[in-house]
Amino acid sequence: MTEHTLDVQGLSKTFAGTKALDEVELRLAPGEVHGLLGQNGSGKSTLIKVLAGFHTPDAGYTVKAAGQELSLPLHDTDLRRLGWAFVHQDLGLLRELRVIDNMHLAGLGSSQGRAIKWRQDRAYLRDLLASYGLDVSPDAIVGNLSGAERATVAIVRAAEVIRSRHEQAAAGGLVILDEPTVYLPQAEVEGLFALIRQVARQGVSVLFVSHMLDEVRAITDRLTVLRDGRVTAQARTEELSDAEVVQAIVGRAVIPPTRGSMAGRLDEPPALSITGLRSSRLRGVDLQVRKGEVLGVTGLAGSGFEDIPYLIFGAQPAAAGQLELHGRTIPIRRIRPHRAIADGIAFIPGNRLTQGAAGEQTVALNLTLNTLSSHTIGPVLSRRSERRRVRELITQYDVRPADPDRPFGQLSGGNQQKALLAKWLQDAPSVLLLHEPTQGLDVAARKQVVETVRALAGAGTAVICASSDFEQIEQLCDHAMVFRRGRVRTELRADEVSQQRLGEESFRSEEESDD
Amino acid sequence: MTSQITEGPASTADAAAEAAARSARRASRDWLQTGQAVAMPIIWIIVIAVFGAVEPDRFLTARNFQNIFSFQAVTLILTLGLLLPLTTGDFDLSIAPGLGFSSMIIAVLNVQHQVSTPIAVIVALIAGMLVGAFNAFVVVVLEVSAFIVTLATGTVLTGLTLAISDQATVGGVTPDLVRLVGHRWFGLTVAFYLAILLAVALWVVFDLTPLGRRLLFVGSNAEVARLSGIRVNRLRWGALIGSGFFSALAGVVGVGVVGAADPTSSAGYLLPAYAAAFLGATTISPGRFNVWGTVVTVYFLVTGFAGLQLLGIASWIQQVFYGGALVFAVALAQLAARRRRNRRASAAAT
Repeated sequence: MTEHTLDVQGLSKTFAGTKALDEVELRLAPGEVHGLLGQNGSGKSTLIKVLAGFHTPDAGYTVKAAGQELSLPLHDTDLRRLGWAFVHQDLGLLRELRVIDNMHLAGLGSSQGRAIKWRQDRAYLRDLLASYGLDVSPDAIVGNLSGAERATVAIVRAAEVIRSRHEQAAAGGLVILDEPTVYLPQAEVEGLFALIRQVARQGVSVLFVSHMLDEVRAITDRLTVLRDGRVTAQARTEELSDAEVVQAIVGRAVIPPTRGSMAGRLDEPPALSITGLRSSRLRGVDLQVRKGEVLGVTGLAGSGFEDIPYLIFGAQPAAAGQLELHGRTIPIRRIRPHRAIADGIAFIPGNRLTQGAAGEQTVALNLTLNTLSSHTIGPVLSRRSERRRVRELITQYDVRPADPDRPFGQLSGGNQQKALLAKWLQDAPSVLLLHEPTQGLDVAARKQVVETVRALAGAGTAVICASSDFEQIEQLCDHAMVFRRGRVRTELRADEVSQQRLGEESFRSEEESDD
Repeated sequence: MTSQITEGPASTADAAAEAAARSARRASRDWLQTGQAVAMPIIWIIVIAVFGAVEPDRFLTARNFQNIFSFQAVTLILTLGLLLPLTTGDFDLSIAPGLGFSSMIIAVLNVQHQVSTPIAVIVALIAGMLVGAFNAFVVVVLEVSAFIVTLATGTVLTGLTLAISDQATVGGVTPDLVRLVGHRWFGLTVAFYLAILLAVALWVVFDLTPLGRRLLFVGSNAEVARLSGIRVNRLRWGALIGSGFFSALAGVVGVGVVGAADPTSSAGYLLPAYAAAFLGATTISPGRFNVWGTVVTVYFLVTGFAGLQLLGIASWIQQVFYGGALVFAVALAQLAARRRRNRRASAAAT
């Protein structure tokens, strides 16, 4: 076959005025392993979801499979006919069921609609798993397998589904692996790669979605980089240097950094310091923030940086660690949100509608939730005092529309974030914790968030910002820590914090092996 | 509204058009909300008018309305208590058996053990709160679904009620309680005034205090509440103990109204309470459980039921009527929520 397994041209997807995908092109030859790289929000997952039929793209695209033009969204039957299989990050296995049940659910084994031939199917499955070098019983419960075994079962299943339909399939088949290595220990990744190569040798194309540059380099023939929904690099893998790929991933700063000089503050004692912080993902983290300093914690998704604010606030349970604040030492395990708030800590979580504010309640009710006791006359709430405060906040933070009675969930993302700043910054906190504070915001709202946080730091608040957006870390932070597999890998001083540097440190290959 | 917040509208004409469109949207939203808020009271008045027209001599009498208001005090007190756990997002199905248990404790202590009425009442109220505390322990600490737990504790209470009563109606409760509860001012009983007093008290808590606001957020989004420093579990404990207390209090009033305790009749209170709470959540302050919506609904439902009885329709209509009302209420609430969601989806930008 000379036709491309997949040929995408001019694919765009617009969500409420924002282009998540912008004229994307992508071609995969039969047997090709193709890497898809990009940061969170670059459009990777949107592209996968469009191909899987979850989203309908904007008009004007051309998508061909083996020369045959397709009309999106695809349905399950189309995917079967084309011989496409997806292995999403969660693997799509039912953990309470056995391996054999999961195979049956995918249509493997006894023919559909007949009584299951257990003996025959077990033998087939045992041989199949063995042929991929996997020593797993067909009767093992999926949830009891190791992460690597589960991933392999999912990929074997996908490959087998494609093979079993090979005759009907119009093209050589396509496996789309969406960050399959995130939960795998380093040592298991090699086994997975062997499996991918084996699948590709059968003429199946593989789209390998990953954050990890070293993995993409190891396994792929060609690669595509997305940034802000656009293709920023597309070439044979060996043609691009690491620096060129990182450059394509992170791009350049649009807004110049706003941080001020930390000179003279470096001698001050830390406002907050943490020692030996451990959790399900973190393996011993120490960090310090001074008054007026903005510390960025970053890394790739899953590296553990994103847990830092949740653990310090008591929103997630920590396993061990000490927090020093206002001259007191507190075991982090004991922290609860109400105690953290009493200690002057404010926390704006990444998920605005499930953790930040109640979407069905009005903007006004959400804004005053933390400060109710300052609006009471005796035991009773003063509506007038609340109203006045809400109006002031809406004006001060420029929340639009300026309608206190609108349900919070009806605000746009940028205005939700402004309202959350208004909710939390009413009594200037001594420590502010942020998670992805600018995610999904347009340029103007981003700028406002960055300026508000900088102003707060200027007034003496210590800020910790967890973010996977290097551009935003560069704009906002005085000092940054890059995480890798649960540990701080690098600390960067103000003059070293740049997108390029953050990208290199995050995506760089693992030199030392972990425990 | 989308997230374009940078530039203002291109011209003043655009700005004016946008403002006009916004105020039109706002006006229609307000109109819809007001319409929904007052729909039930209006329907109630229509129901009264219809029955009044059909049976003016028997329906439109002071006596009939005095009865409607007085006899429903028990249901109203029970439903008010139910609002507490419903607001924090938990079910309590043990309220009706709790009512029966409380009535029976008073009757048995008073009649068979000659315990004075005040002490019997105090024992019953404490028992109610203990039941609530037990529910809260299993629901909040052990994290079991409140629906299942309270269904089970309710069944246990029904059994205990049968046990302490020897499966028989216990009559002859000392007349002081009966006289107090049934005492009439301006034709209405003390039971009615007590229920209204409790409604006012709960309304103050729910609508006018920081505690009420926190309860609302616990039910609305417990994670947001927790991350805003609200002691979510503590409030859920309080709400379940509160509903235990109110159901015991409804039992006290019930035994006072009837003068006897019947070990099986309490089951009939569960559905009316739920129907009133859920239907009440669609009126006065639509979209949330609210005190005055509940009060109006309790009387709306009983007016309808009383009218149907006066027309000579057999008493089986009660079950059909309350059951139908509950299905109607939850369906209506679901439709309203879906409409809000759709509006949000079309308004949200990211």
